[in-house]
Amino acid sequence: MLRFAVETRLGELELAVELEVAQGECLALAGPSGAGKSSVLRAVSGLATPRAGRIACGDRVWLDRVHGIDLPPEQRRCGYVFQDYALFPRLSAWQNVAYGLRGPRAQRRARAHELLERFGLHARADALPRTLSGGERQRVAVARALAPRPAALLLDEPLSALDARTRAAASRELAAVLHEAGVPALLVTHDFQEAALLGDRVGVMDAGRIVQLGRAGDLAAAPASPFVADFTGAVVLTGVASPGAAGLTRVELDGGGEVSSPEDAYGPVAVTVYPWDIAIAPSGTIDPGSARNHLDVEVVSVTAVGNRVRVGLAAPQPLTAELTEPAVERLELRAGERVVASWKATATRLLPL
Amino acid sequence: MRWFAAPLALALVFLTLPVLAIFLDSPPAELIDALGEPGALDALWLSLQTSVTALAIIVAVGTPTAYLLATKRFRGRALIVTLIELPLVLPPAVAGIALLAALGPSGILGSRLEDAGVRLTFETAGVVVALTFVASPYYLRQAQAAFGALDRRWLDASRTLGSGPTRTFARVAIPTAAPGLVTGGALAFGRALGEFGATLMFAGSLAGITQTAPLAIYERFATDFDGALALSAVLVAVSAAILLSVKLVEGDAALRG
Repeated sequence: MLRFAVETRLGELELAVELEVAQGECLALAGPSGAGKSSVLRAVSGLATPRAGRIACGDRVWLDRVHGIDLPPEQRRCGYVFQDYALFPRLSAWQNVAYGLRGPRAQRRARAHELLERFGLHARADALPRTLSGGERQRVAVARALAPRPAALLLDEPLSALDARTRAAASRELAAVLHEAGVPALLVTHDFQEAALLGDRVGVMDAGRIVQLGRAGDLAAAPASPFVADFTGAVVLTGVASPGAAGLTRVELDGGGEVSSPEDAYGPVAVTVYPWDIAIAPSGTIDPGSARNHLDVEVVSVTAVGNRVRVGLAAPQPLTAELTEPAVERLELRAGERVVASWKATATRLLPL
Repeated sequence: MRWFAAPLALALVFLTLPVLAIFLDSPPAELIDALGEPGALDALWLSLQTSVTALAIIVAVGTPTAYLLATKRFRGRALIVTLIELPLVLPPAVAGIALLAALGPSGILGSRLEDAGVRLTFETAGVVVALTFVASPYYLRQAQAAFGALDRRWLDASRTLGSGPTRTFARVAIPTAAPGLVTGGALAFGRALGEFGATLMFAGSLAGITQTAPLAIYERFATDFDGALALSAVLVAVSAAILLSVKLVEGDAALRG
């Protein structure tokens, strides 16, 4: 369990964050740049000392300003994956991974190679960072952070340096690695979709504070403020794609339901759609002829956000529709009701997983 | 663009002709014979010894100093950087007088050194002090630039991987900044090897004790021009070798990205 509360001043910004991350849990902090996300990681790792606060990992206290405890980074055993990875440029892949290990060289070398093998990089062990691809660098950086068996893992935008195609595969792999590591993981990203895919819980940060914390689906369905509503953006569903009728791609959603998209994809995909593109109609009013996607869904929540209303739906995967207030009143939407959610096939994006 | 070739040719001739003349003025055999003159090889050997010693002191003290100045922000840092670069623009004669005023027999620290049995003027140790004083800014400047160009996250990564500040300095900062440090070392060594004014004023020109190669050249040029030429030729060769090795290290670093 990683537990911390830190307060510090960042230029004009007053940062105040309090969080608990369980063993094996990945908590994703998401927010626009300048929200103070990376500063949280720097404070937890000990690279920066906050003005006030307490940080504890398991039964070890890393920081306690009141009692004058402030362990330097090298004593916190905190794995850190830096933005753009920060691999040591003059060390080979295996030397990078072995850097945090102690003991005889042969032993360190063996452990580094073992880790690289697990990440499918055994053949690249002697390569210098500048000759590695973006995806390979990311895996070396994660392996390097995991090598000394850290007590917690911090990741700063671990996927943003990758191109779109690599990112999908890397994100799936990273999610598996984080759960396997079994330590508290704190991840920072400016991309809500990435946070939703990797985080068991997501904290949305704005101007130095966590404005809402919860499961990604809950945040999108019931945002606490217009800021969270805008930031959470697209709904993300997962499914398996195959060629469908009329040149469209058919996606069977995990848990039930089926949608179509004009985008090409095959195999596991993430389906994204914006809440404002989703319309809601009473059950049994489907127009079967139109090229729209229809899902039978249950209303989970109805939340007013400014002049809009967010309707949380279960398909059974969580999705969110954004409607105007008159529309919600006309439909008499309330939790537990079954309705049909529909949106244009052309508003449906597919990301290979 | 064509007329630019004329100033280029002028610069090339002006800068290389005097150097070439050292080798062309006397037959090579005479140059080699002249090195056999008593004292010539002594002066070269003394130059080499004192320059290497000065370089060792500069690197040992200057490397951590430059690292601190390049990576930490603190009050008065800009002032310190300016002060330690001062010898760079100081006329050598002024440097010599300054050293005498500080460390000479009647200088503010010199008398105390004398009491402790340490004498610098007219001693080889004084030559090392003069060379160190004059040459160290060349290394400090270059080393600061090299450390300043390091990605801070490499240093941060090292810390989170269990290495303290000292280990991070030794294992990440120095190896990564190595090309810049080598360049700085070569520049400082070259400057020390050619040092004349400060050494002459502070340590004197005693053959075999404080008379380095440049001082020996100066002493000889009126009476034994060939001897002076021979010593000059050796210094040119050493300087060219230093310059070449710096270019090679820089080229290698550029290739490695």
